[in-house]
Amino acid sequence: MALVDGLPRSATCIAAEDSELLVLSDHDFLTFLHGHGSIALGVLQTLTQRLRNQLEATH
Amino acid sequence: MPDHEISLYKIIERSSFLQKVDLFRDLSPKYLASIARLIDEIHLLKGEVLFEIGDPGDYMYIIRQGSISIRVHGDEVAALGEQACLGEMALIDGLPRSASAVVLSEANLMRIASHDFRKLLENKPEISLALMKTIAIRLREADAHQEKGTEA
Repeated sequence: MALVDGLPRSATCIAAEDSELLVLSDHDFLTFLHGHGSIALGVLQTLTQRLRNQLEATH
Repeated sequence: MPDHEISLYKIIERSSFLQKVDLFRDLSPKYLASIARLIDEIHLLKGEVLFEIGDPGDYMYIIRQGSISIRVHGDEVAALGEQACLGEMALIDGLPRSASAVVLSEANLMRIASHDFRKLLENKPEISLALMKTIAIRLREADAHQEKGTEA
């Protein structure tokens, strides 16, 4: 979410064991979305569904 | 259907109203104008039903004037006034209405068809990105709200 809304991290992350991660920079991701409208819409739909689920869970 | 012949004055006037709407707050004037072109306006009288639970999410609405009651099985869960959005989530994710909407006082609404809006989003990813930001902020707020409720 920090990648999408540009706000600071909302939690801390610590490696619990030796790990290998895939990394996607915010700049690359946002540039990619700018060039791919249907994927940007897909990400927007996923975020909206999460919001809907969250709101339904709290009401 | 939105107006095919829409005056420049109308576009500017609707754009400046859209700018005040929370969902669109991160959009530049250029994109507000492309949304303004998709809008048509409807007038409703007190007591009229705008939509019922389970209806398809075919339009999103923005209140210009008047107020709307949002009800779940007859109980009011929210009363919305000027500048409020209704049905914006159904418009994005295409799911059916999760509540009913009844007019509380004579209302003027701006309406955008989901089909037109989604087509606009596919052609202009910048709008999706701006909306993502607004939705992510709302999601953070909802997460924080839930954490508060579930913490021991």
